[in-house]
Amino acid sequence: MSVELPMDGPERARQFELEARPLLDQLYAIAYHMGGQASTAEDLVQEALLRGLQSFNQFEPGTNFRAWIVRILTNVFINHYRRRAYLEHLMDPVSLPPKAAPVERSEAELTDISAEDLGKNGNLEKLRDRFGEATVAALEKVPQDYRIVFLLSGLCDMSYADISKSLEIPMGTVMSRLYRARAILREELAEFGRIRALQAAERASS
Amino acid sequence: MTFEMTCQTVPQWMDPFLDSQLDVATAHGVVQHLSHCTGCSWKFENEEKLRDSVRRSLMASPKAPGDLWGKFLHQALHRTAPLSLVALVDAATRAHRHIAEELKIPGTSEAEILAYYRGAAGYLPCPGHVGPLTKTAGDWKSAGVLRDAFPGRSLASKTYRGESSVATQLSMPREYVGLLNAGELRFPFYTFDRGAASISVMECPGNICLFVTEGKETTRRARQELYREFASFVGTSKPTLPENRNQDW
Repeated sequence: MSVELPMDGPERARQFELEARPLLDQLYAIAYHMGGQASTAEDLVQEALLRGLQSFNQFEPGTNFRAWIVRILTNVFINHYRRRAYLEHLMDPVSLPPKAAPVERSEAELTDISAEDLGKNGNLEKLRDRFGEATVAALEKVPQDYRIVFLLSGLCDMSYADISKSLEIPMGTVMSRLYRARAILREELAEFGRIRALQAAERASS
Repeated sequence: MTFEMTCQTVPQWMDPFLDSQLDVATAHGVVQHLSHCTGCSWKFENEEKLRDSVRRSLMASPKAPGDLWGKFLHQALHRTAPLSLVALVDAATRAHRHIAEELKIPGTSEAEILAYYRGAAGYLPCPGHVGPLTKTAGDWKSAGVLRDAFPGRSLASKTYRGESSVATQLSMPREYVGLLNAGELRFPFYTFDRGAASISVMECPGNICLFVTEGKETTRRARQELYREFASFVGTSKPTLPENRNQDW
């Protein structure tokens, strides 16, 4: 018969829940943007949580849990991504380099808020919602290979060197993909920048 | 060495600068330039704001499906412990053979619970195991306090393999405390046994499951007594009975 400290295992699980559960939305959002599909996102998050729970004894209390679990999620994703890329490569021996998607403008959606209306609270709220939607839509226009680099840097806070190592691509490629991804996002969201400038001008004049 | 930056050269450093990827000397050069150039400084600031907004937006949407945590727990249980959990159910039945050979869980049929523990249910019925006492018991940590109320005793557990019994009975005749080993996880459980029926409370990372074991000869009165005693034991004042489900037993 083995006698064990009664609270150790469950206490650990409870601690894990306390740390991980509040981050569930964030982890899901990251996974979703990486995989581009709800079912993939669920699988990735669940896998990351399982690995996190299983190695939670290696987590040092007091350090940044978010960084730790995001790192696990990133590894889970990279494995998944590599496997998929490998399979695609097998099926399609002539793998062409990805082309940047054509940039579509969505000005019409935005022009119905006039500069003088911007100060009103409801409109700000509306604007924020639209920005959120537009950002998600803009990200979808970024080709997958660029998007991954962008997400690893922008949401997962990985360094260029780490990204280069994880994806097995040269550092220069990391930087150029990041640059391209951001250029597309910037272009897609340019209208919001203009609105903000208007808003600032409004504020300055009133 | 400090780099002398100009409005022409500084933009190339914007991305790595905002990503905190520059070496100290280059970053210092950028800061130097920004400190006296409002034009570039405005551009950097604007870019940073845009990045913040993008990051916030992407983090906020889409939201995780409401049942994602439950699904994870379900998987965690199955990945780490399906056999142990099957054994728990079987052992609970065996341990109470003096009562009857039937296991009864309010809100969940025996077939369902067995299917769940054997990994065949495909859903997480845990909330369904929790009988009406959850409504009156308030903070279930009180059940944890119960275990700690006997500090001098070893709380024993057995790794679950096939025939071993699920818990070692402590010297208290009518309550046992144990740990169910389930791979990486260990779940404490507590059994409040009143002969004619018993209540077991088991904790897993996200839930507290409460199941009631009753026998064919368990009378409504005995069950009522059990609920009343158990409720006062965990510090609740208003125990409620489950729907009268076994009148036909």
